[in-house]
Amino acid sequence: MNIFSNIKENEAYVRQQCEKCDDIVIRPMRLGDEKKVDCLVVYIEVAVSNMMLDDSVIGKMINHFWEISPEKMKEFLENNSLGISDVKELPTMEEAMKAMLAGNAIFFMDGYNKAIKISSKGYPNLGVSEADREKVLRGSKEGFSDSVKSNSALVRKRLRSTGLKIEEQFVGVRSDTLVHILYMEDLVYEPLLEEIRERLQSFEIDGVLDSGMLEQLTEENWLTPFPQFQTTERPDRAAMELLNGRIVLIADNSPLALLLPTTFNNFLQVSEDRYNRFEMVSFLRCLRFMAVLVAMLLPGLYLATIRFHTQILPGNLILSFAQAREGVPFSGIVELIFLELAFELIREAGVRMPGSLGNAIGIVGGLIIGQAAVEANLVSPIVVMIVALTALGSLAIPSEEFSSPFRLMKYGFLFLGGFFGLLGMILGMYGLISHLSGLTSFHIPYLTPYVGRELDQGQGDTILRKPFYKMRRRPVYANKNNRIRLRRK
Amino acid sequence: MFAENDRISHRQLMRQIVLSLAAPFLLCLAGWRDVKGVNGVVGIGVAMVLLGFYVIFLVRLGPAYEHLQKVLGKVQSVVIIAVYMIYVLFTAAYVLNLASSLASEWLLSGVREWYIRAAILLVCAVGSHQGMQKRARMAEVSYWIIVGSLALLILLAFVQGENFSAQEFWRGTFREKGAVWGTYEILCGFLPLTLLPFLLSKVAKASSGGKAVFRAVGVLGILLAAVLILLPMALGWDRMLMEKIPVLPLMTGTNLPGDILARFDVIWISLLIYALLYSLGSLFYYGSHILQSVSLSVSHWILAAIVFVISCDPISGYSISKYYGKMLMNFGAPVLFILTIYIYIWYRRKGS
Repeated sequence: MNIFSNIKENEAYVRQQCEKCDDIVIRPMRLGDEKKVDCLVVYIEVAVSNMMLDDSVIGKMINHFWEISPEKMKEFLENNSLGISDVKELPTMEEAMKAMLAGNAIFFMDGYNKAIKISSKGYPNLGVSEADREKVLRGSKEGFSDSVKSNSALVRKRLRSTGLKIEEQFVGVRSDTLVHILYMEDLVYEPLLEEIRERLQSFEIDGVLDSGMLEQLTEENWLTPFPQFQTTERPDRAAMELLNGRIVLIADNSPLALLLPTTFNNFLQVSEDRYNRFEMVSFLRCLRFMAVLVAMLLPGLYLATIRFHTQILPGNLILSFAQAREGVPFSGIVELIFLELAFELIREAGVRMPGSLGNAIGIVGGLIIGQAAVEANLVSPIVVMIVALTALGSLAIPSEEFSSPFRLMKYGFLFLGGFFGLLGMILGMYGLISHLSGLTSFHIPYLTPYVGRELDQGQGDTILRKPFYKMRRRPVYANKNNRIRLRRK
Repeated sequence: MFAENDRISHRQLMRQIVLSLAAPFLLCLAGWRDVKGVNGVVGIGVAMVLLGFYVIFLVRLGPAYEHLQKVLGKVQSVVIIAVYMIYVLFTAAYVLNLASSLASEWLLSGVREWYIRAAILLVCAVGSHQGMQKRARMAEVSYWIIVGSLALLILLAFVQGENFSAQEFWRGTFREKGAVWGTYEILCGFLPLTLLPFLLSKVAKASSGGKAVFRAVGVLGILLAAVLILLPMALGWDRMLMEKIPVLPLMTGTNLPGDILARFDVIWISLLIYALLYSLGSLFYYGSHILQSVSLSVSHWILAAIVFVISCDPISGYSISKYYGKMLMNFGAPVLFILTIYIYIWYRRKGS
C-alpha cells in the first residue's frame, strides 16, 4: 500500500496496525516556522530512546524543521539536505512498518507521499562479549553478540576489503529475522552461494529465533546425527573461514554464526591452530582424533574384551579386572549403562545450573557419587575409570555439536560390543564409515580431504598440519581460480 | 557440484579393487590347491602378465558394456546380465559364508552362525545401492588401515618367526603342471575384474583407467606372493597343507612389540572381516549397478535375501564353501571369459 499524501490517513493506518501495541510510540507533531505542518514519528519505545531522538539525526532534523518554512521542509526531505547517510525514503506502508519494527524511527509529513526511515541503534542487546564456548589461549577474545549487524561488523573489522560481501535476507513470516550471508566475492565457489540462497528461499516458517533453526531447515540430510553446518561464536574464526572460501551465515538474535560447507575435519580444528606452531598443532589434532575414538568406542571395547575376548589382554590385567569386579552384582553392560547415564545426568544438570552451582554439581557428581557407587559395590572402579576416560574424550572434542553424535553412538557401540564382541564393533564401524562416506554438506563429501587426492590438493591441513609458510593453497571448496593463499615475494 | 558427477578417480578405483579382493585372496587363495610354494609364486608372476593383457581388453570393452542393449539387443543382453548376476550372487554368498564362519569360529563362538550371517548381511545391504562415490570414499578411508595392517602382519611374521626354514619353501618343488594350474587358479581369483567394464562409465578418464587396475593387481600380487613365501617358512610345509585357512595360524604367531596385548590374532581377524564386509557391500552395489545397465531394477533387499538363501546350505552338508571353488574353476571363469569375447565380437560387428 502506497503512503498517502494526507497524514491523517497515514496516522489512521498506523494506529490501526499498531492497536494494542503499547510499546510503539506514535507521536504526532506540528513543525515548520509557523507550526502549520502536521508530522508523525513512529518508533519502538525501547529501540529508539527519547535521548536519542533529541541528540540524534532525527532530533536535529526536527529541530531544523522548526526554523524553516513548510515549502522548504518538503524540498529538504527530497534532497536529503542534512546529508545524513542512513536516511532512506520508503514508498509503501509495508516497508515503513517493517523498518519501524526493525528498530528504526519512521517520519511522515503531511503532503509528502513517502516515509523517511531514520536508523537508530535498534533493539537492546548484550554487546560484544568474550567468547566462552570456544576458548583459546592465543588469539582474540571477542565473541559474537545477538545483533546480526554488530556481528557482521566484527567480521568486517578483520577483513577490511570490499571483496567481503554481506547480503541480507529475511526469513520467518512473523519473526522477519534478518540473516546475513557473508562471503569473499573472489574466493567463494559461486554455485555454493547460489545453493544457499535457494535453500534460504525454499521454506516458509512463522519464525526463526536462532541460527540452529536455520541450520535444520537448510541441511541436506535430516536423519544423520552429524551436524552439516559448523558453528562459531568467534569473529576471527569466521573471518579465517571466509578466507578459505567458505560462506558464513549470521542470523539476528543468535550469537552463533554458521559456516558452510562443513567437513569432519573442520570440526577437529580450532581457531588457534593457525596461530601456533605446526608441531604442537599436529600433536593436538592427533589427540583430538583419538578423543573421538575414545568417546565413541571405549565402553564398547571394554565390554567386548571382558565378555568375549579376554585372551587379548595379558593375564595379570585380566586378573586385576576380575578382582575389581568382585562383589558387583550387575553385568558389565548394566554397570556401564548405569554410570554413563549418571554422568549424562550430572552433565545436563551442570549445564543448566548457574555458573558456580554447575561446577559444584560436577564435583559432587564426579567425586562423591562415583566413590559412593564403588563403595556400595554398585560399580567396579575400572568402570568408573572407563566412564571418566570416555567423558574426557567427549569433552576434548572442540565442538559441542560434533561431540553429540559420538555421545549418542557410544551407546550403540556399547550394546554392539556387549552382545556381539569385536564382531559387533566391526559391524558398527563399517556402518559408521559407510554412513559418513555417503554424507555431504552442500555437495562436499563430509570426509574431505581424506577421501581423494583431488580433495586435499596439497593443502596440508588434515590430521597433521604443515608449517604455516607451506600452507599455500585454499581448500577444495574455494573458487578454483583462486586457490593460492600464500606467495613468497 | 563436487560429488554430483558420481565419477571416481583412478586412485579410488585402484583402492576399491585392492580392498575388495585383499581379504578373500589371503583367506582363500593363499594355500588353495596349487597356489602354494614355488608353483604359486610362479603362477602369480604369469597371472600378472596375462591379467595385464586382459585388463587392456576389458578397458576397451567399456563402451560396449555401457550400451549393452544397443550392442546385443534386449533379449541377449538380459541373458548375459543374468549370467553375470549368477556369478555376483554366488560370490556374495561365498564371501558371506566365509565372513560368518570366520566370525563364528574366532570372534563369537556359541552364537548360531545364521544369526551372524543375518547381521552381516543387514549391515552390508543397508545403503549398498547408493552411488559409486560412496564406495570409493569408503575405500579411500579404509585402504591404508587394511593394507597397512596386512603389510604389518607380514612384516611382524617375518621379524618374529623363530623357527623359520627357507628349505620348507622349496619343499613344494616346481612342477610345470602345478604352475599352470596355479596360474589358472589365481586368474580365477581375479575373476571379479570381469565386472570392470560395467564400472568404467563411473570412472573419470575411463580409457586410461587400465593403469589403476594394473597397480591394484600389482599390490594384490605382491601381498599374495609375500604370504605364499611366508606360509611354508613359518608354519612348515606339512602344517600348511593341513590347515583349512593357512593364513590364520600365521596371524596367531604374531605379536606387537613390547607385548602390549597378549594375543593379537582377533585384531587381525577383525580387520579381515571388515575387508570382507567391504567386498560383500561392493558385490551388492555392483549387482544393483549391473541390473541397471539393462534397465532392470531389483531392490537390494531382494538381492540380499537371495544371497542369504544361497549361503544357507540349502542341501544339508553341501555348503557353498565346498562347491564354490570348483564351480568357479569349471564353469564361472570359462563362461565369463567366453562372454567377454562374445560381447567383443558383437561390439566389433556393430562397428564400435
